[in-house]
Amino acid sequence: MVDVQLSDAEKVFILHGVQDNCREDGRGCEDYRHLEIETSVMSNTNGSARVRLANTDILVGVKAELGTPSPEKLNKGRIEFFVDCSANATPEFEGRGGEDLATDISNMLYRAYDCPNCFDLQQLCVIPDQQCWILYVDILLLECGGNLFDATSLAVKAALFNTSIPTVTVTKDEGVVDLEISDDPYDVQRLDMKSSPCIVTLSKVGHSHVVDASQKEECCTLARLIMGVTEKGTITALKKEGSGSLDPTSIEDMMETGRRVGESLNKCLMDALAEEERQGTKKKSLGFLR
Amino acid sequence: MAGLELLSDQGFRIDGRRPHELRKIQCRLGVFNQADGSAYIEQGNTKVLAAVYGPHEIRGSRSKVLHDKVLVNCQYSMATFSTGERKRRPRGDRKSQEMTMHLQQTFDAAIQTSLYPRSQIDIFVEVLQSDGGNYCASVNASTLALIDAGIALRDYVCACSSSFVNDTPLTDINYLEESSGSPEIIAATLPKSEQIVFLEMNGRLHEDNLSRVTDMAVKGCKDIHDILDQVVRDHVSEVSTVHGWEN
Amino acid sequence: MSAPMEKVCVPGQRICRHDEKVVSGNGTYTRSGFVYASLAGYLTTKSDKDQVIIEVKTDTELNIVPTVDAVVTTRVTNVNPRFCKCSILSVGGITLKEPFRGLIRKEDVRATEKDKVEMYKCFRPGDIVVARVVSFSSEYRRHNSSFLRKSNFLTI
Repeated sequence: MVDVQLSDAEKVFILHGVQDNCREDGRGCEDYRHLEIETSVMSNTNGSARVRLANTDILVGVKAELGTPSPEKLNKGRIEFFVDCSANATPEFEGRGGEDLATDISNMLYRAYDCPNCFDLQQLCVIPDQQCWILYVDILLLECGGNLFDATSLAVKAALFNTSIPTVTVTKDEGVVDLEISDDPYDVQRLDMKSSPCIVTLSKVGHSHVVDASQKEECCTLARLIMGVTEKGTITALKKEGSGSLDPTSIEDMMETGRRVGESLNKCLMDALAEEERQGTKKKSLGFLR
Repeated sequence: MAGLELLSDQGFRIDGRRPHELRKIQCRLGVFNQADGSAYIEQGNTKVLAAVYGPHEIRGSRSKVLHDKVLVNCQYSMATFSTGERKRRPRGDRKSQEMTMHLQQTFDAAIQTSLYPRSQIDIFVEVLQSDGGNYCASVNASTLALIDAGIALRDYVCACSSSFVNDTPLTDINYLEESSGSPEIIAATLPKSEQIVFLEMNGRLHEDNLSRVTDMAVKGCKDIHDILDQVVRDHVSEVSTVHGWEN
Repeated sequence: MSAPMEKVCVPGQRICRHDEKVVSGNGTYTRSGFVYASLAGYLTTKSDKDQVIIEVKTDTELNIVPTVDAVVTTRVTNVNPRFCKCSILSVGGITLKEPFRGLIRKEDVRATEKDKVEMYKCFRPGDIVVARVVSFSSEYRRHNSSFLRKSNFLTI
């Protein structure tokens, strides 16, 4: 990620701002920056979404393929995350430069979605023990402007909302099982992802913590708490990052804030997606052309 | 493939175009703030993003430094969801490396390399959706991104592909036409001087038809140039009104 | 030569014929007797004595790299008894997007008494130095000479 170099005076300025609940750009400690979401941007995927959170730009494409379920969960489908840091964001991501960051983000997503109540993998099962849908969620990081985890999880959730899997009819004929995938573009089933988690990153700046840190604030952060929160306020994953240490009471405070922010974030996202779907074909697909 | 005619008797292609028609092109300069120059182009269903960084000091191995020219470093990468069948690796496979070398060769000819000695210009291309003509869209997007970055160019570089079916040359072929087995010519030219900087041919083509098909590709490049030219001029006028310079 | 009617120009656009009165400035190049634009921007003409300089003005700053004999502004990063490393911030008056690396050798600090120079007494990390690029070294570090003939070097 691009390193912003700050002087000590600038760091003190940011610290004091956060203490008074007035950050550099006028936000409060629990406010997100300007967020734009658009779904159905790629036509040859089962679902796609693009999220722009200030300068951070993430593109997610979901492809569904039939395959065998994993041996531990025979009657459930699979979801696989793959993060690719594009060199468009910074030349340091050229070749294999962005692999560390990509592994971090995909591991966090795996952890967050591993909870049984948040994303029901049962809906992806076609023939128990034999065939299931595997969702390949591919995330492309186009620009890094701070707070990558949150933006990625929002994009993933929006893409899953947009995903439509063709219906499969199973016919059993003398012990031979036949799968027929419907060719009709309207004969599809949507996924139930209302309780899939959103990741909220809380950065400790000075003695207080902020949500959605910009790049400058990330430089002043010693420790970060990354948590996956569902719409009901359930925390599905928790990870502490950074070289600084956190007091147990601060962790509790941060978890409280994260839960509160996560609930409202989930709700706003679902409202926005429902509004976009309601507009249907009236909305002009803009993608990157705007 | 039964029932899939590349060129119908009435002279229509699979997507309804005439043989000499290009796909719909939409593009935009300055998509990202972080990169020095960036551009996005949509040619039909092929969507490509290009970002340019530079000129800056050479990164990595200093043995590559050229004392009188700039080092053009390209990377061609395809998103895993860009193709019909999911791709496992976005870059690093042989096809991507070949594309990278082609792009490097093409832009070495177009950028005024003597103006930036001992430095490096990075061109990163990301294919978001692939429906044939990946190289052409990459070249067109990179040209726009270089113009957006303010790097001195001799001329635009425009690329177009063409094919030969049923004794008719087709221009700007899509994925279905590419994979049907008919010959394919990809050409990148400097439109004003009509010089070819890159030429590649796949498949089998009788030499009597070579000039017809190549001319079709060069004409396609010229048409694309007109479209890109208009977009660049609009962008410059828009930017200048923002800065308040009209004098 | 008359000023061109179309003010917006794009790379590869032919501007005018090249003769003794016309000088191609930033953003233009000459080829086969004509002046062409190499950047996308606005055409400007400047009259200097009886020569006309044609330039292309863009919204971003001109892309430039340090070349021999360019006057550069650098910030000292490392000081060593033999040389000091610096980071080149701007060339001429144009700020660079990314700093380049440079080197000021002990012998290039002043014209007289070159061997009695003590680097620690001349430079400190963080100093801003105006220098002229002397040469490029094989390890790709530019050698700057802070010895400018007309004025002494400035350390801010």
